[in-house]
Amino acid sequence: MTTLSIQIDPPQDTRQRVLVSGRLDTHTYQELDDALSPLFATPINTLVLDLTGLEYISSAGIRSIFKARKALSPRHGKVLVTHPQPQIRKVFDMVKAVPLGEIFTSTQELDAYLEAMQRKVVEGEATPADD
Amino acid sequence: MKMQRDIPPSLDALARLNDDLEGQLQAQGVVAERIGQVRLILEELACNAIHHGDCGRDEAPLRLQLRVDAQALVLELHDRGNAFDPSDAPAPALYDTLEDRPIGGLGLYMVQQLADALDYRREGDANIVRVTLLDPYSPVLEDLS
Repeated sequence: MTTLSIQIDPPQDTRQRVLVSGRLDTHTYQELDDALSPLFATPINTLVLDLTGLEYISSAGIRSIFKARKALSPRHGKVLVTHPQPQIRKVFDMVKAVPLGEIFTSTQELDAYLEAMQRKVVEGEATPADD
Repeated sequence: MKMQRDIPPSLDALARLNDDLEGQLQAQGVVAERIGQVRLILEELACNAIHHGDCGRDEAPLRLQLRVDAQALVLELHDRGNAFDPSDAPAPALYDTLEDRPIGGLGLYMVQQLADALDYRREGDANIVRVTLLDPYSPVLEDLS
């Protein structure tokens, strides 16, 4: 059966984690598009896609992730990917679906990245404006 | 192992075919990574024929032929859509900026990348695409380690 399971965690400030499991393909990508679309109407700027349970992705699924990246880009937001299985990682690498620096194999790596991002934001806010 | 299936040119029929194929390849002992690649290749080729090749206009069936032995897995897809050679599909602009990259155009590129050989011929009103994957019983993901 070609099925997809999507779990949307409660948002944390401007960050939103979504767990995607099963198969993300031509039969299921619309479910992900429909699930993510309302999130882009909220102030989130970091979408964390946890792909631990994702077993298969085709170009239709890659398109959905691209759409999400493009939706967040105008607000300088990012789609971060965590825990992709090797076969998923291989497809991502093949088509450069997500920059390598935005794919994480462990929660520790992701947390370190998010903390560094947060520090940048705080430091940016603390820096006096030029004008 | 050899199999041949004719399906209507629809996504529902494609999903059933891919599930059936997956079960058969598992029973044959083909490694999971290869089975995933076969699923991907069949999905991309069939979707392209259905969506862009207009092969559904007269409901002519898609035909899948597949054979597997120790040396190779050979998949052939026959469709009666517009003449189209998937090995001629243009390479996507993988290194353009996010803003400049289109969201599509990746499926046939993935097939080109995964196939050890990709052959095309036109016979009468049919496109025949043949994909060869070598060593279907060997692991294929070592290069990720």
